[in-house]
Amino acid sequence: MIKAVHVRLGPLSGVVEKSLSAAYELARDGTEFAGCELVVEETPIILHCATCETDCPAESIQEISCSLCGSQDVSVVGGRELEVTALEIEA
Amino acid sequence: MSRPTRMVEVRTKILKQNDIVARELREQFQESGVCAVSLVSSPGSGKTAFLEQTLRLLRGQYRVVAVVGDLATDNDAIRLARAGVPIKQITTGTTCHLEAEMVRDALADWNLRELDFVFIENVGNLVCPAAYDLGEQLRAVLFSVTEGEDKPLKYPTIFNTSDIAIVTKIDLAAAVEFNQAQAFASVRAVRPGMEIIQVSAKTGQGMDDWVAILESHRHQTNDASEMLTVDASGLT
Repeated sequence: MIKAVHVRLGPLSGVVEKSLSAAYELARDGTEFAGCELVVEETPIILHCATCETDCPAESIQEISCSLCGSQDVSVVGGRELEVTALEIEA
Repeated sequence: MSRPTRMVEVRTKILKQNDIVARELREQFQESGVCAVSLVSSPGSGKTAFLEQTLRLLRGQYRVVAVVGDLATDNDAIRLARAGVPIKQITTGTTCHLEAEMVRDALADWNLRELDFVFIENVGNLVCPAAYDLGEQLRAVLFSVTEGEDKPLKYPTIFNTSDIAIVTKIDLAAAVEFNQAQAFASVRAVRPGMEIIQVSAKTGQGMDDWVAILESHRHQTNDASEMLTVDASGLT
C-alpha cells in the first residue's frame, strides 16, 4: 500500500505547490490511491557563481545574482526540479 | 495503530515523457542541420505579426516552415500563410501550452533535411510554456512596449528559460513612454546577460538584427551537424 508520494518542486519548474496539490487530489480521490498523500518538498534556487566559485541560494526569483558577491556571472544549478523522489510504502 | 512505512527512492522527472520527446526532436533538428526557433509571449504581444515578417525576410534565401499553436481557430495559420511558406496549425483545445509531442506530430509530414528553419509559435501564455521543452535550439520570449517594463519580473520563469528577449512594437515606445533602461534591467535581473533586441514588425525596425541572430544560430547548427557527420563517417 502506497502511503505517500514525495515530490521535489523548484521555483523555476513553472509549477506551484498549491496547484499541484489540488490537481493531485482531484486525480487521486475516488481511486484505489485515495489514502496516498502528496508530500511536496520545495527547493530553493541555487546558483553557481563563476566569480567567487561558490554555490549559493538566490535572493529571489527576481534576483538571479550571487548573494555573496553580487556577481551576475551565475548559472542556475538548482530550482528547476519537478520530480518524484520517493514512494512511502506500508511495510 | 499505524503500521511502519518504508521509503523507496524513485527519482523520476514528472515531465520525463515530454523531455524524452524533446530530446529526440533536438537530435533530429541537429542531425538534419535545421535551426528550430520557438516564440513565447503573452497573448497580444505581436508574435504572429513578428513571425510573419520573419518568414517574409527569410523565405527568399532559406527553406522555412512554421507551426503555430492556439487553443482554437486556424486564424494565425491563415495569416502566416500570406508569407508564402508552409504553415501548420496546432489547435490545443483547452491546453494552454504546446508539448513536444504536438510539435513532433505537426512536423511529421515535412522532411527536416530539406529545411533550414523551423519556427514554433507557442500558445500566448507566459506561464506554462516555461515548463515544456520543445526541442528548440533557440527560445525567444517577446514582450511589447505596451505591457509594462516589469513584465520580466512578473513572469521570471519564462524569461529564465529563454535564450533571447525581444521587445516588440517599438514604434509605439514614445507614445506609451516606454522606459528602455528599466525594461532591460528587469530582463537582466531574472536572466543575467540575456541578449535583448527591439523590433517593430510594422516598420521593420530591428528586424535586420533578428535575421542576423537567426543566421548566426543557423551556422552554429550546421557546424554541429557537420561535426556529427564527420563523427559518423569516422566510425565506418
